[in-house]
This record gives sequence, structure tokens and C-alpha cells, in this order.
Amino acid sequence: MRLALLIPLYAIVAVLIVYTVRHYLFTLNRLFGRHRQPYVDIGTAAWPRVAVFVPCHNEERVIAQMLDALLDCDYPERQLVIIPINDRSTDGTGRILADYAGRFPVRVAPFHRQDGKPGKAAALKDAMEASDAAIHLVFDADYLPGRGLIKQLVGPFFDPEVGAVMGRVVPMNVNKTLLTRLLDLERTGGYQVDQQARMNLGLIPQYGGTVGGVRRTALIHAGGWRDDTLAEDTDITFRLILAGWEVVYQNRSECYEEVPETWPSRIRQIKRWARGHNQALARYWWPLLKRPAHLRRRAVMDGLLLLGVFAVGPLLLLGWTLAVALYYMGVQLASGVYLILAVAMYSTLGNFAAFFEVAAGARLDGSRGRIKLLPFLIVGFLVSLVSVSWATLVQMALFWRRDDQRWEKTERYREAGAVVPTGTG
Amino acid sequence: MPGKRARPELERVRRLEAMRVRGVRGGVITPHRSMVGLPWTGFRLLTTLLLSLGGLLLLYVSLPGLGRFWQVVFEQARDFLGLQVPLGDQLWTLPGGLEFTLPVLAVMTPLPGIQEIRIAAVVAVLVFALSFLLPVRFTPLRYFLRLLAIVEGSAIGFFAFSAESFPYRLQDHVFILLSAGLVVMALVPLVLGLTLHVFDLAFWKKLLLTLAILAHLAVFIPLQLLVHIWLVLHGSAVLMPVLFLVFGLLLDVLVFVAFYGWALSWRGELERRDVAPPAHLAMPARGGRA
Repeated sequence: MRLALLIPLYAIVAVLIVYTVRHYLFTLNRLFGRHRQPYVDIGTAAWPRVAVFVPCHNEERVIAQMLDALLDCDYPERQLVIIPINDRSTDGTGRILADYAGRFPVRVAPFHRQDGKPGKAAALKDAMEASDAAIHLVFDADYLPGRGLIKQLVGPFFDPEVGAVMGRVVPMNVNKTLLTRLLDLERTGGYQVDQQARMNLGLIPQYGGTVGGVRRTALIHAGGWRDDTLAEDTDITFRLILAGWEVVYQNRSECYEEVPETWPSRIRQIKRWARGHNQALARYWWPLLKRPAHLRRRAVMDGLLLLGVFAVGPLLLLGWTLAVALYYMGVQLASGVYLILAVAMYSTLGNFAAFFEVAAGARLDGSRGRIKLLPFLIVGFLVSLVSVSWATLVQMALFWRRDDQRWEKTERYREAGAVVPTGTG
Repeated sequence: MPGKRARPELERVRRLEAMRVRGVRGGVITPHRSMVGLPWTGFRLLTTLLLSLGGLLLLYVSLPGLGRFWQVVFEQARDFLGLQVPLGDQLWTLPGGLEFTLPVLAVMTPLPGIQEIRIAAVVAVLVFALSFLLPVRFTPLRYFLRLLAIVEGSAIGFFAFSAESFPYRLQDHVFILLSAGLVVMALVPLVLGLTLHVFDLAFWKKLLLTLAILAHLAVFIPLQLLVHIWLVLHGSAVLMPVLFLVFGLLLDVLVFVAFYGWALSWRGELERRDVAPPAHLAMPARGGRA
């Protein structure tokens, strides 16, 4: 009996050690390694035609600012079309989009969806046909791109092997609550260190579904957007990689977003991410493990670990449960086992960035003060751990149900027309 | 090594490189945060090794003193708490033949009776219920209270049905956590070497931090366990699982992470140089003076 509990516990500890070492190597690479930032800051070029898709479901609070920011971009006007996807909105979103389409008839071409599957993936799938532009960029409606962002994101596509590009997401409502501050730290670890290190090391940077885009031909080659997933970003990342395309991360290409300000909103968000990510894990772990000839072994290993980030939460919870059971059985576990389980609690669950990775990212960002919040990571981690584990359990229990695709929209907090401060604060 | 002909060219390249990052007031234009990194120097490698090995050595030579200190703390606490129990010690043999003497308070382990179990059950239920009454902005606290209630619930279930087979005495609890605390202390210099000393903090800051964490843990760990003892003596062994699993090593790691976060919020050596060009980029002024 004891052995039956000890073996899985040590297996879980081994997985946690692998992730910890992985993130330590990422941190060292980001601090001291040579950075790959291909095609960054190209100013003059024969810019390809670009369509910017902005899925909107009841986004009246934020969509106007987003469109204003896009219209202000320095990308050649004739080569850029903005396609807000009005996805069954019931608020004033449709009216705002109609107003912009009237004022900018060539540059803004809304795509209206009245029915069909809900969710971003389904909206993108339907709207994809609306443009034959070479590059399809995607932004969430609450994002605020800077003037040069479109060029920065399009630059890497001059490399014909690049299928997708991802920029950096920076929260702009950092100073609202403890949660927003913790999410700011999470994003910092995830983008400034994790994504850039994966880019440097030739691993698999993740296309994150917003502040990025795909090459249309690559998208078609990989089978287009799938509407049966809750994480179309992870899904397309792995399909592109398996189909032989490169995914590029551009740390320089920053875009500002609203992070959830309330815990219920955050819980819904991370549950959706977990379910979507787990779908991708179930679909692509085996094709990845078979290792297509063009993929290096280390990229495959990293891809598998990337696919598993949301499975680590339930594993850790199981690890603690086993430790409790063994405690009652009088099994004295080595201090190291408890230590690994304890240290893992001071991470972020969205990317499983360890505390030192988060601190390194914040320090590289030049905003040292917020690193003092590091011990509070356990606060966010505990909530995420329970939420992700619950979402995973429900997903496993209902795996036979094909219609388990309910889309939980992330709440917006900005007042329409509000002046938006940017920066990490 | 460049030849005589290449030297002027190399010098020119260096000067051009220096001009490229020079601001109008003579300072250095720092790169965008997306491109910034840290230069690795031999000196930092040396100080990292020195601080890591030095920290371990310091802990090693301090072990007898640390043992005596913990003995004194336990002795004082015993008198302060009015415990009429003998204070002994237990030898802990470490890998490599090292030995360390840990203090042991010979207290009886108060197993819970029906009354204590009922009280614990009521408290656990109240804590669980309270977690649902708190506003949603306290969600982490709600989750934490539920976690506490669940772990305590497991203890109540265990003691209700199998109290006699509880495998730990209070002395064991203290011994395990004291020895685990010592493991944490031994890991501090190594983990700092891997995760903090690689940064550009001044040597004295790194040294100070290493000493501060070790000193803090040296005081914190025995006090933490004395609180455990006091709580168990007043609330019975039904509290031991919660204290061990939630308020044991998790707290020690919290102390480390808090110090680590504090230290990394300090100004780095390289940041100070932003106001003036680094020495290797300095250009001679017009009058020929550097």
C-alpha cells in the first residue's frame, strides 16, 4: 500500500523537478544568453497586405479605443484592413462598429455573426474567409496596440518559414487590486523570460491568440482555425509546428491589455485556459512525441512540457494528497519531497514559472519594487491550483461530451471613453 | 590578439560602439527592456562560489553553537510556558558522518478525547462555513480556510476512528520539523547561489542577505515549533497534521521567498552606472583628459 502511494508521489516530484530545472535554464538563458529577435524594428519594406481581426462579443466599453489605436498605427493604410468581428453582441458594439465603418469605409470592415457556435475560435473561423490578406493578425478588443506594433509583428513574416508571430502582453490595470499585481508578475515571468528563452533556444514559443498573427497560407496548410477548441492559440501553435512552420516570439512588440480585476473573473479565465490547453494536450502529445523529422529532440521535449503546464496543477494537488495520506501512515518522507511540493506553491500556474523566474523577469523590466510581492504568489497560485484542478476533473468526467465548449467571456472594467494609462506601473 | 594594423581599427570600432549608446548628457542610453540582459563576469562567478561555499561553511562551523542556541530557546520557552517537563537532546546524524544535537522537550502527546474531537469538528465546520460568507474579494482567504478545514477534517476523521494508531509523538513532530528546518538552512546558500548571486547586486548585499536569512531562520524555526507545541498542548494532537502540513515547511519556504523578493528589489550595480558611461566605454574628453 505504501509503495502504491510512494511511487506516484516520487513520480510527481520528479515532474516538478523537471519543470523547475526547465524554468531555471530559461531564466539563465534570458539573463545571460544571446537574444534572438529577428526582423525587429524594420522601418521600410514592401509591406504585405494585413487583416487585423478583433473578435468582439459585447465590447462596447473598449472597442472604440482599440479601433482608434489601430487606425493610428503607422502601417501603410492601403495595406491594412481592420476586421472587427461582431460576434452576436447584444450591447452597443454593433452600433459603434457601424459608426467606424461609416467613417472609415475602406479601412474598417466589420464582420457580423448573428448565429453559429459561440466563442473566439468559431468567430475567427467564420471571419477568416472575409479577407485574402497575406497576414492575419488577431487582437482582443481590450488591447491597446502602439503605433509601430503592426509593423513589428509583420516583420518576422518576411521569413517564408514563419507561420505565426506572437508579441508581448503587458497589463495596463496593474495597480487596481492584489490580483492585477499578481497577474502582472505572472505575465512578466511568462513573456519576458519564458517566451523569450524558448525563442532564444530554438524551442516552441507559443502563439498566444492575441497580439500576434498567422500567415494565411500557413493557417490554411495547417487546417484553418478549429472551432471545437477553447484554446485556439495553443491548438494552432502545435498544428503549425507539426506542419513544419516556425513560430516566432517578439519580446519588443508590446501591447497593453486589461487583466481580470476580480477573482471570479480570473477563475473563469483560467478554467477556460486549462480546459483548452488540456484539449491540446490530448490531441497533440502523441503526434509531437512521434517527432516529425523537422523537429529537434529538445523542441519536442519542451513542446510536451508546454502542453502539460495545466496538467501540473492537478498533479501537484495529487502530490499533496498523497503526502497527507503517507503522513497518516507514518511514512517519513525526505524533507526534500516536502520542500519540492512547498516551493512549487510559489509559482504561477498559467505558465508554471517559478518564483525566481518571475523575479528575474520583473528585474529585467526595470520595475524592482513589485518583486517584493513575490511571497504573495502563493495566494494566486492556491486559487489557480484549485480552479485548474477542478476544471480538469470536470473535463475528464465529461470527456465523452462533445458539446463541452462553453465559452466564458472575460469581463471588461474600463469605462467607455476613459483615458487609459499605459505602462507596468 | 589583433596585429599592429588591426589595432587602430579595433579602437575605432570600440569608440563607435561607445558613441552608439551615449546620450546627450554623456550618460548611457540603455536598451529597451525587451533586449536587456546581464553581463556575466568572472568576479560574479567567484563571489557566487565564495558566498555559497562560505555560507555552507559558516553553517557547518556554527552547528554546535546553533544547537546550543536552540537548546537555550527551548529552555527559556519551557520556563515561560510553565511546562514541567525535562529538556533533553537528540543526536541527528547527518550524511558524511556529521552530527547535530537537536533539543527535545519530553512532553506527552495529548491524544484527543471525544470532547476535543467534537470541538475540533465544530471549529472546522465553522471555518468551512465562514469561507462561504466572506466577500469574493477575499477569495484566496476563502480557499485557504477551506484548505485548513479539509486538512483538519482529515485529522478529525483519523482520530475519531483510529486515534491510537497515530504514528507521531509530539517529540517526533518537533524533531522532524527542526531537522527539516536545518535542511532548509543548509539549502539557503546553495539556492541563493543559483538564483540570487547571479544578479548584479553588490557583494556586501549578497553577503548581508545570506546572513540575514540564516539568522532569521535560526530564530524563526525554534519559535515556530514552540508555537506548535503550545497549540498541541492546548488543543491536542488533532492539530498536529495541520501544523505539520500547512504551517511547517511551507512557512519556512515563505520566509526564504520573502527575503529573496526583498533582495531582488534592491538596486543593482549595473543600474548605478546608467548615469555615466561604463569604464570600458569611456571616451577621452576634448582636452585629452578622460
